[in-house]
Amino acid sequence: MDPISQETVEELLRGNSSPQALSPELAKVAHLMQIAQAPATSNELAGSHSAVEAFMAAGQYPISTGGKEKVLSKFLSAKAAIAAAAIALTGGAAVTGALVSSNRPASIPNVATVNPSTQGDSPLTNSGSTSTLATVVGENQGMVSGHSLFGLCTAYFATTKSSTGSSVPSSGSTAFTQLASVAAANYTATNTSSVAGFCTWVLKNYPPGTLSGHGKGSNASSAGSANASQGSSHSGGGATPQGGATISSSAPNMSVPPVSLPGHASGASSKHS
Amino acid sequence: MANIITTSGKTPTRVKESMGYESSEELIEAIVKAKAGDEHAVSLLYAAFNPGLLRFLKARIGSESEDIASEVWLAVARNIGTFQGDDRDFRAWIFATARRRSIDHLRRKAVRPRLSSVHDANDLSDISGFDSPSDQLEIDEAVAALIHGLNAKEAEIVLLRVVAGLSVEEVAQVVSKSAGSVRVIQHRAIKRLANNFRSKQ
Repeated sequence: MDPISQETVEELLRGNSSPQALSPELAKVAHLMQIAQAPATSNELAGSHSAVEAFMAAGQYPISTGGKEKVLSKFLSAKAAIAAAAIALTGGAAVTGALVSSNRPASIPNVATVNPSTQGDSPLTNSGSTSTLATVVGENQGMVSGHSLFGLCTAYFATTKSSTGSSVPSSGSTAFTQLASVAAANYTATNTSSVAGFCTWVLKNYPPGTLSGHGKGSNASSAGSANASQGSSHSGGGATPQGGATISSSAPNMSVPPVSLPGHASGASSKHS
Repeated sequence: MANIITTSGKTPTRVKESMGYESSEELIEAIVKAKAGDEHAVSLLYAAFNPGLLRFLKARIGSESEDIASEVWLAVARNIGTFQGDDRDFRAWIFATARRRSIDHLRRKAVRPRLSSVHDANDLSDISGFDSPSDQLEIDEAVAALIHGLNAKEAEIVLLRVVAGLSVEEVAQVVSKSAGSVRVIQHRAIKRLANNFRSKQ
C-alpha cells in the first residue's frame, strides 16, 4: 500500500477528499466518514422541545410552561429522576452528605469542598444511579460548607442574642443571606424561625470536630468547564461552579432534621443513619 | 427507519453543513440570543450540535449517551451566560464538556471506553456498500466502524475530527496535546483503518 501523506489524511478528515483520488481502502474510510457526518436524524432531534425547556430552566431564564423542577426532571433520565427524589427526600444530606442552598452562592467560603463528579472518595462515586444527578445538584445549586455553617450560625446567635430571632442579621451580607437560603430550603420543622431553628440544630449536631472536609479547596467541575483546553479563547465559558462542601457521612449524630425542599410535599423526610 | 432531516437544505459534503449546522454567522447570532434566553436560538443550537454530540457520546459510552448529552446541555445552559467566543469556540466548548463528562462517567463505571465496534470486519464492508445514509442505525454503525480497531487516543481524536468537526488545533486544545501530536495520532489512525480494510479484501 502506498504511504498515506499528511495532506491526504487531512483532506479525508475534513471531508474534502474525492473518492476517485483515493486508494480503495481509503475510499472506504472516506465513505464511513461521510456517513458519520450525515444530516441529523429525527431521532437525534427528538428531544429538542424538552431540551430547550430544560435549558431555559437550568439557565435561570423564564420558561413558558411548567415548573423548573418538572422540566428538568423530564429532561433528565428516569434514573436521574430517582436520584433526584432520593436527594430531595433526604434534604440532600443523606445522599450527598451536603447541605444544599437554594441559590448558587457567589462567595461562600469553601472550607471543605469536594467535586461530586470527580472525587474518588465521595459516596456518590460508589453509585452510578446517584452520581449523575448529584453532579447536577453540585453544579447547579452550590453548597455551603459545614464549617461555614457552624461559624455563620455562631455569628448569627451572637448577633441576634436570641435563639428565636426571626430576622437575619446584616441582611446585606452575602454570607447571612446564604445562611437564610439554606435554612429556608432545608428546615421547616418547628415553630421557630427557619434560621434560628436550623442554626440550633447545626450547633447541636455539628460541634467543631465532627465536620470533615476533603480538603480539596475550590475545584472546577469538569462537566461544566468551558476551558477544557489550555489557551482557550472562551475565557468565560468555563464558569464552573465551586465544588460542594460536604459533611462527612461518617460523622456521629448525623440525624437530619425534618426537611422540606421546595416543590416537594412536607413530611417527606427521612433519617440518615 | 428514521428520516434524514436536512435543516440547511444543503448537500451533506462537509461536517459543518451535513449535520444541519447553520452558517457561522447564524450560529454566532444564535449564541448571543441564547445567552439572553431566546428559546428559538437555543433550539437552533440544539439542532446544530446535538446530533454530533450524540454520535460522539454513543461511540464512547454507548447506551447512556443521551443521559450524558442531557447533562452537557444543562451545563451549557448554566454557563452560557459567561461564555465568550464564536461558533467554533462554542463547538469546542460543547465537545470538551462532553469529553470530560464521558470520562467522568466511565470513571464512575470503572470501565474502559468503547473502542471497538460491535460489528466485525465483515460489517464494515457492508456499510461501505451503502450509497447514502438513510437512518440512525447506519450512522451509528458507521461511527462505530470508524473507530474499530483503534486505540483510545486514536479513536477519540478521530471522533473529535470527524463527528465533532473540530480542527487539529481545536482537538489539540481539547485533549491537551500539541497540534503536532494530534496530526501524528490521526495519521496513525487512518493508516490503521486503511490496513484493516485492506486485510479484509
